[in-house]
Amino acid sequence: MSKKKNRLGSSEEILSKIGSRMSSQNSKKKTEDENKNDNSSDKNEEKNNDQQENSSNDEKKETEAVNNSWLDEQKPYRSSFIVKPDMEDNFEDCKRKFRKELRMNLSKQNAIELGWLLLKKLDKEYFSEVKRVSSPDDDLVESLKKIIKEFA
Amino acid sequence: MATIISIVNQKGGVGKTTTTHNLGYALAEKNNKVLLLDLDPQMNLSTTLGIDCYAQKNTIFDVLKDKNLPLGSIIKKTDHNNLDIIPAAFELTGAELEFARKFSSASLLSRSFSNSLKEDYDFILIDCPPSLGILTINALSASDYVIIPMQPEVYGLYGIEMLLSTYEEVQEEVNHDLEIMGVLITMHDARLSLHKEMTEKINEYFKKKVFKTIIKTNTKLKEAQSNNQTVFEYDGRARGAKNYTSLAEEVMEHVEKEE
Repeated sequence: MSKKKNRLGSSEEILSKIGSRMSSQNSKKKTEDENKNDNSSDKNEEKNNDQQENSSNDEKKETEAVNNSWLDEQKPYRSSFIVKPDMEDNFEDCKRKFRKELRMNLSKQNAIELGWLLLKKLDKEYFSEVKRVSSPDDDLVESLKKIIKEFA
Repeated sequence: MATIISIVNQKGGVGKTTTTHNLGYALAEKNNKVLLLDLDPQMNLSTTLGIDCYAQKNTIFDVLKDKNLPLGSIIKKTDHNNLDIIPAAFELTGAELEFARKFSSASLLSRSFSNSLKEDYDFILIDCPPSLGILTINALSASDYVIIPMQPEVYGLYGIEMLLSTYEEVQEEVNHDLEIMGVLITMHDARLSLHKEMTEKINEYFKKKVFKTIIKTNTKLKEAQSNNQTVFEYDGRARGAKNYTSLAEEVMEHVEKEE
């Protein structure tokens, strides 16, 4: 009786391991995406309720925000400026990381990106001044260190 | 905004450079603006495109070292209007020593991709070296997707296990959005039962993470390389050209779906 040769040997075992690792990556990403969507839809629902009451106020604020948007003011510098979306969501973590990393050997670009995120989020007078007179291309690390010290 | 794809496998000779070159050309032929980035110190991709890597004033190594040197300044044009390249540099061989394998050095490349540069291209394809060192980690950190070319043989599988660990590490620590676009079966020889059986099993276990396109073994692909050409330029009717056109269509479809 002829027996079929096992050409693949141990390959099938390895394939199965790799396959399950890949699919777990897939499902992990799916769950993350779904959570993100859930959060944003919850936020949207809340927003919709509030919106009816405050529509006129919102319009005012929106116009102000558009006028004061530092991104608009700094348009020429936007090409070299990247802020990861998750930093927007985890602002507190981002702030902590920024403080921690300033004590460590933080690269200039990271400091600038995180610093500009702080400037964008915190509406203090001092920050507005920095926003007005500086650009993401300036060496902001020193002045940002001062800001962090002040608010730490 | 450009979709950045790394072509990665730490095993040598699986078709990373051939895939980067031919996929890039196929995408460019489909009216996409494409930038190829040669991160392999062997410089094969750059040499094939007729660039003398030793004669460059500034190189990708200088960009990684000097934060103020823009990546855009070292881009070279090719004969194809839609296809540009950032050549490799001999100094990349010393990258491991220069930038120790730690995660603070993982974002040197991603940091150098400015938004304006990304807006100039539809696709940026990174040809990675055959290792899982700091250059590959930088490529993964800067990428949206990974394409893993592999021969349907057991040694290729061992490599993928190790690559997955690095991929997971980078995804966890540096680039949460990184995704495997697919495993690309290359150098498939339909006459070999081993290749047929292995391909079936790869499809069974990897499911959607395998490209439907299979790059079949094709002498024209190698002949084209000897002539410093893509298979499209060398013999547009060759099976290799058809395979890479179909791969380009799959890649474009995948990216459009995600958008």
